[in-house]
Amino acid sequence: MASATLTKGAADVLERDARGHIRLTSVRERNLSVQLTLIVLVTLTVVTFARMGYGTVDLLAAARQAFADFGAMMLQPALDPPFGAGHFTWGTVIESAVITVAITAICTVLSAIVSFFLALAAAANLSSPVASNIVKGFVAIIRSIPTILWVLVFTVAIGLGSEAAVLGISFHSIAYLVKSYSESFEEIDEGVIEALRASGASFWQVVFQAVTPATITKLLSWTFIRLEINFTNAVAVGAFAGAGGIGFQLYQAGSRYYNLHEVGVIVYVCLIVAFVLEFVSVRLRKRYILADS
Amino acid sequence: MSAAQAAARTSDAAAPDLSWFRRRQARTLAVLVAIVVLFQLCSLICNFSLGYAVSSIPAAFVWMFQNFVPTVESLANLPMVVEQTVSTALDSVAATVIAAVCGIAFSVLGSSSIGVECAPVRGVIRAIASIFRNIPMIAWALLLLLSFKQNEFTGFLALFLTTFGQLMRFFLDTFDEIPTGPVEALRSCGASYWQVVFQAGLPLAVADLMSWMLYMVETNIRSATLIGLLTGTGIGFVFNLYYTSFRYDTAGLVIVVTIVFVLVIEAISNAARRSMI
Amino acid sequence: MSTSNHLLVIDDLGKSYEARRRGTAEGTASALSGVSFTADPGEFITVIGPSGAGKSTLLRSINRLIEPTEGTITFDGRDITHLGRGKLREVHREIAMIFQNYNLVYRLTAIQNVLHGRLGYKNALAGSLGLYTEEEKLRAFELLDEVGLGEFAYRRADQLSGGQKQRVGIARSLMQEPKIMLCDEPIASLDPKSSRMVMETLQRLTRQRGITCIVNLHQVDFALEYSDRIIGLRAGQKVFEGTPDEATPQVIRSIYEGQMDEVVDVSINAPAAIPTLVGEGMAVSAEAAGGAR
Repeated sequence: MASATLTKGAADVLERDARGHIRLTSVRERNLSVQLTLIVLVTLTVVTFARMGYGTVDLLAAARQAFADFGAMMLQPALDPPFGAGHFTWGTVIESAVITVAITAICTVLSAIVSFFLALAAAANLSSPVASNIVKGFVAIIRSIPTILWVLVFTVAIGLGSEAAVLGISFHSIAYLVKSYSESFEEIDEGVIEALRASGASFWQVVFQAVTPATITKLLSWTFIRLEINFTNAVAVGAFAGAGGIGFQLYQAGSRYYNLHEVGVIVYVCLIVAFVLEFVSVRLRKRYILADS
Repeated sequence: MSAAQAAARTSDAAAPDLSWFRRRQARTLAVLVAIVVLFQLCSLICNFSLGYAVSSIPAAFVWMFQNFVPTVESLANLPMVVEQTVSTALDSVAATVIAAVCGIAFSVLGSSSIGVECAPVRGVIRAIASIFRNIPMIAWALLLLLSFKQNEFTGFLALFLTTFGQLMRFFLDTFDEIPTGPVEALRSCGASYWQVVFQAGLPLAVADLMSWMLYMVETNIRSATLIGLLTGTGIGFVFNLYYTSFRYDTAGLVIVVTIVFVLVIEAISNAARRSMI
Repeated sequence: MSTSNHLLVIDDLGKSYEARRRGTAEGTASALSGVSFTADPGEFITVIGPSGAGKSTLLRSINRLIEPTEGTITFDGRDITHLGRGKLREVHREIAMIFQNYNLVYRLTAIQNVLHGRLGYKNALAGSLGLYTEEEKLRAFELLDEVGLGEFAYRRADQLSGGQKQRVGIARSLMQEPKIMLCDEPIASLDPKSSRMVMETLQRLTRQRGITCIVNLHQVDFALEYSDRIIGLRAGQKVFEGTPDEATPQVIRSIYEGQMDEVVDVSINAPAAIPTLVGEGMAVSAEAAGGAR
């Protein structure tokens, strides 16, 4: 027996598989949840491909065309002839980009303010269990409804315009931020709050003297992440909210004029704005984290 | 931070005068004023009225509850709605899995912790991920519609391409943040590049990678709704169909079914996450 | 001097960094300069000195995890200062390393972590997939048994205590069948009892096998107790070399003298050192000096 060199305790622990090979993980203590989750996901993927409608097009030819189209879009962006068709001017494209950024900013500011107060109610360590669970449940339901459905609902309920777009995007944004903010609040060291409460501080004093300073970097971090997501959403719903913006122009270029070169220009404008937002948000995050730590 | 700065800071805090507090207050005030000004400016630009928006919320909810409550007749559509929701959910899973398979190798190679040694190569990988992520979903959908026409596969492809970009970002962040110690330890005992990746990188990252995949499945159901609107598939399409023909009861049914599905999937993936830690 | 008699010959070793940080003076910051010493098979050498003296840099330069900028390293009669990547991998097999933070892959079992010591001997595929031979697995079990952790072989690394983790680290090193072991603050994060256990395990197992051991230590009392030879480092330079008997309280004091002045350039290569441990070291030396202060 090869394991004779081991002490009794170790020899008892050692497990062998059916072929007599030494195991590296214990059968009893094995955690298969990663493997199990992967198997479920892969199985669902296979099922999806089996039952998916592929349409009537020749997939290979379509793929070839899609690559050519992608090339036309990314390599030959143009607004004016010969590639473009003059449907848009640089003025209108830039203007609509500015409108989308403005909508993004409004949504982010509004939802950050509302979320801050809702998150105070949702944080288990600051609020009562009943209030916390009610807010969390409510927010979970709001979050599960896609942004675009919110926007469509508001366009009919209050009419087309920037208000519908802002409300639609903000609802989802608030739901996301309440969750993130309240989780940040819940990570605060319990002792800090207790110490302030013991010294007779009121709820709002606790909030502004302990909770906010302790979490501000995380809150800002989440807010900037949401700023980027809100821009993506503002572009996406642009076509449906009637508020104008770059998303609407994109939809026009692609779905009405079928001009990929113009789509390309608009895509590049979106990319540039997204990069600038990302850059600004990373810089601000770094600056605030440095300034406050 | 240099020692001089640090010293300046401590002496500020210790000093009896309150200039530090006053400066802090002034800074907070300046930030608040800047936000208000920015907000007003943006409102002007996109013709947004805060008063109108806020005041119309109650009316909008009343309208929703009057019109969107599923009626008995609309329940006849339930099997169809559920079927479309299932297919949207399946598309989300498939797009996530395929994107993860494609993304994992790139994100390993592009990461700062266990990536390739050549920094420019890492930069290129990260740039490609960033471009994919930031090309608007609508652009992908419209582009693919031209060649693949209106069908479910087109919706899947559009979803896959946007998921790929986003998942790459999450994966790259995950690999960037794995502890460097074990990686150094394996290198120091003579492990080769791929041995380090498989024996340290992946085991250290796997729980987070799975968590991000499950998160993408959840968010993709929402994205799939929008893409479905454009490509004429899934719940997005069904919702739009009934919505634009003023049959709000069935549209409401779509919303209810979507809520149930998303909440159930969230609950399942949260349970999976917890058991993986 | 003939180099062939010694296992390791460090000659005039130096490491300087380009001063890239803002606010640093022009030129280069030197972390290590002109360090020379030799090590023979089976020797137990400790390196002491205030935090930031370059202990960690010295150790990591020996196996070139940090590339030295001056001097030569001769290991086993072979100049390894400029070895290429592939050859260096062969050398790495024979130079094991132990870390302050244990550096185990926390999701894997103890036995899997020990087997990582074999990776340098395996081909890329087998190593990547974690396919080890039965002999290797049994050997890993025996080593775990030897460090007293046979019964914990299937425990996940994150479920072990600090001292246990470090002993897994020792088993992993021994799995490499090294000629030399470099230990970077192996007990800096441990309580006194675990520290003693780890030091004893280290000394016993390396002595049995004739493995040379070079240990960075903050705790002067441990250094005096366990070493054959002590090297004192201050501000990147060797200021003392001798037996524990030669390391009189005066000598120890001179090594740690004026360490606050030395800390200016520390931030570049400071290991995650815990200041209180330096304090403890100081207290011990002061005590040994008969309360000289």
